[in-house]
Amino acid sequence: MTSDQPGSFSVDVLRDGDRATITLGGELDMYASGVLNERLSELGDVLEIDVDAGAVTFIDSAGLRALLVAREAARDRGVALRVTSVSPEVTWVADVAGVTDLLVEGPAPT
Amino acid sequence: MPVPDEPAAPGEAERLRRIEALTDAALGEVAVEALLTQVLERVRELLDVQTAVVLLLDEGTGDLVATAAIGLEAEVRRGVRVRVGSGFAGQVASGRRPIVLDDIGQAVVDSPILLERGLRSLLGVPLVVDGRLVGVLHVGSTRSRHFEPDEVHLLEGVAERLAAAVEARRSLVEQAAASALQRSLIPDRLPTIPGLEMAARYLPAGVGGVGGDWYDVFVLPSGHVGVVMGDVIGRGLEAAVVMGRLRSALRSYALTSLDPAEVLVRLDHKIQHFEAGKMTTVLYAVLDPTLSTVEIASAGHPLPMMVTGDGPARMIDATVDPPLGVIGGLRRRSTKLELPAGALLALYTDGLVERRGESLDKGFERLAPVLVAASAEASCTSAISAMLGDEGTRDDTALLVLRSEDPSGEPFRMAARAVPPSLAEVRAALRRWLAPLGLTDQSLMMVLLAVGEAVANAVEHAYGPDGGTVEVEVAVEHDHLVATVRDHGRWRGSPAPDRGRGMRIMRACTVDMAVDTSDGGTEVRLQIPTTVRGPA
Repeated sequence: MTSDQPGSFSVDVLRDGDRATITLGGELDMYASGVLNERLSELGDVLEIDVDAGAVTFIDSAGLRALLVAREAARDRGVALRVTSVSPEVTWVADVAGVTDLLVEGPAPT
Repeated sequence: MPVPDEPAAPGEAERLRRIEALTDAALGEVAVEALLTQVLERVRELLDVQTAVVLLLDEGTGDLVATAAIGLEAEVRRGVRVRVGSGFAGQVASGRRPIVLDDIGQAVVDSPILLERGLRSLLGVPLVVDGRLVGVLHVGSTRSRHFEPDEVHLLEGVAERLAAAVEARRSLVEQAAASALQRSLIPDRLPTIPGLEMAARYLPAGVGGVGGDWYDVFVLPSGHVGVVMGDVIGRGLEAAVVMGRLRSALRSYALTSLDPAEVLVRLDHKIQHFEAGKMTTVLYAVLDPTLSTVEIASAGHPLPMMVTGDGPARMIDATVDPPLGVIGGLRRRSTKLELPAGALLALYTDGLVERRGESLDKGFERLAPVLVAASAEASCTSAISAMLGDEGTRDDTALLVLRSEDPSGEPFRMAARAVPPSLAEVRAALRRWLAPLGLTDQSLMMVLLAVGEAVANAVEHAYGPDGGTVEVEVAVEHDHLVATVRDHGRWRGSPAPDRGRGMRIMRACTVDMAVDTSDGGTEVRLQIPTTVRGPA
């Protein structure tokens, strides 16, 4: 499903069997985190989640928190959640916030 | 030659006197139902009948609705509706003339209430104003009797006065409702958008009630600013109601597309489907988040005037497509224009420039010289007085003037509600203010992050459920920016480790940071360097 809302944040979810790819775009802040959490909670049963953050242009501590919470929730259910395609800007923010290990740089491993 | 045995018909003067006696006291009543009930009570006494009922025409459904009754109160309580043309009242309505039934035949009367009541004779007259049917008045007798021509004549006289009184009250109520609706839909305070000075006037027409003019200004989630000026053809409550629906539909479509032509295509589709026949002109403009360009689409609406620098005001050069609600499936076009810092843009409805016996060009000639780039408020005031003078307006008039402020040198100041959606608004406004400084992307991000984290702190911790505001100020000092983020709530600590991450981000983006918390609120002061190169 594609959201064509010109707002500052977009979440696209693509399901392929046990695997879900979540493509984020725009600015992931406190407000957008709420939207992301909602979409993740609708995901249902999958075994693998790839979060493609390549189009994220801005992230703050609330955005990082949303990704951390999502990863922990996934881990509790035995689901692997990877955040991939991270831009240098987003990596910089994760570094200074002390959560470098949250992110996998470069494109998703295939 | 009068027949000696017949009683003499009362003269016209006597008839009028009786009608006046019947209606005058009651005409003082403001509420329609009370007025009708009083008159019906007197009619019943005078004509020696047991029932008297008024049904009014519901223009929406075309049905007659029992509105007041004496002796047949159940008709009103049960909300009896009669189709025009069917049943007794329906036939009085469709024939537009009195019907006298000396003895009820079941063929005509199909109202179970009339039959249950045991009525034998009926007399019904239509309520007509200016040739328009507004309702039916009928009286009934439980014993068989003959209604004399002078009695019919008398009831017609009562009906005439009742119809006029009902209509006058209806239009008063409608006008009051229309202006209340209009007032609630037209913003009395425009949103505060840093970098944009705005002023607006809405002047309802002196006579004939409010029309369907509206204007609207809103910030979109992306930081773009939507500006609307529209005019629903027609006036009164109906135009105001349609205007309200279109205003809210346009806002919805604005969330789905940043292309003004596309938004108008969707609005047109909505009108074609749900508001058939409601022709509307609309101008929709979208300013980009830095307020340096404006994209405009016009559906039959006069184009804005623009003033840049010291030059004279001129009408912008853009495409005008047909009004909405006329031809379905049209392709519409947007025109993108530069909006230089300090430029002024005036949007208006035709009431501002149209004068009887004067060409439109004349109107524009009078408008151009009074618009000055220096001030939106001053331009608004002088445009209204130059264009309308003291005589007021025959048509509704709306005027909205925007001026992109030249931000150089002035500190950034913004007050936002302490809610999560404000974060994006603060960033968009800050970007606009920062644009002329030419920061590197990394510096820009550090400013947005540091200020954003401080604002997020206030959003999360300063206030309880009642909310509050957070104020942001940023000024240039030498080679860094000084930002102050202030709230007036009671700081409720920061839950580790989440806020810890926010603090670490703020520290990484600043060379100095001070948090000052008192009973009056919290003030965060940040010093942010402006000379940072991009990420290594």
